[in-house]
Amino acid sequence: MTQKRHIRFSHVFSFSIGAIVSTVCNNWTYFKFNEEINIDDLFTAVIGGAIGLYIGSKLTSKVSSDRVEKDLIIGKITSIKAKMEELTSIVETGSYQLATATKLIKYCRQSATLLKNMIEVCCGDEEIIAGNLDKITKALNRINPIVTGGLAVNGILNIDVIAIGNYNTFNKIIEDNSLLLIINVNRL
Amino acid sequence: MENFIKISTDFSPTPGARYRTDGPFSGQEFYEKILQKKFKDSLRSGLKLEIDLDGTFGFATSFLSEAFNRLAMEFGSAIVWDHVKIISNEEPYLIDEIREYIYDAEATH
Repeated sequence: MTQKRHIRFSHVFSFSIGAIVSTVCNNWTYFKFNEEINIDDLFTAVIGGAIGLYIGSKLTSKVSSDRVEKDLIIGKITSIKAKMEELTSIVETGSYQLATATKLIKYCRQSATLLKNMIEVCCGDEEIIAGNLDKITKALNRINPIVTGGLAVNGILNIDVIAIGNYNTFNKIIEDNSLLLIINVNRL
Repeated sequence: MENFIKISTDFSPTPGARYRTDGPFSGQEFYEKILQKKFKDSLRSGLKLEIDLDGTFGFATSFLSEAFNRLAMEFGSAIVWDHVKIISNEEPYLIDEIREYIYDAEATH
């Protein structure tokens, strides 16, 4: 709403400045205008202006839609990062509810699958981006049995220091590649 | 439906770990209470058993491994894979993982 009001204000402001400049130019003796209008020149000027406006608006619209797509992709990566941080915080305690871990892992793996589809549609065959995402997906697949595969007691899963270490190794791959993915998507 | 299992409603929306001793809704419990019987019925009727994985909070690898590995050990990997249809729209990658659990049973025995 505020943005719309801002755009409307800038249009009115630009128009007012244009009107003032035109009036000053017309009244100032320094400028001498030829009062005869050449139809060909006028036509060329109008068409040229129209083409300029068309190209400008098309470019603006393309840049704006690219930005929306990038923001959607980056938003998804950020949400995976947030859920992984949540998972890390419970895994590092060494004892946690299995249901919580499966729920978080499900979210992350589902999101990675969706992200793959989004990137295919929005970025095409960008090898670097696909490579980053592939590393994230593979690391998630390796993390899954570490955090959900062990023995539980009454739904509480206990994992040892070695398993936590393995988890951290794959989690680091996810963290690093998430960051690279955001940078690479932004650069497109 | 006769040859259909929806785990979230027929068993639990929060499947547990591997064994009954691990806690409620384990893979062992699912196998012994539902999967084994339904699979036998499917074999008798000659129809594929449809197993719908959608709608749960997520699966522990131990749950899926226990249930499908045991099924394959009892009936044979090829027979099991030919007579089940896994539905997993939410997590399509689980279909390949279950296939691995089924064929792992053959490799280990």
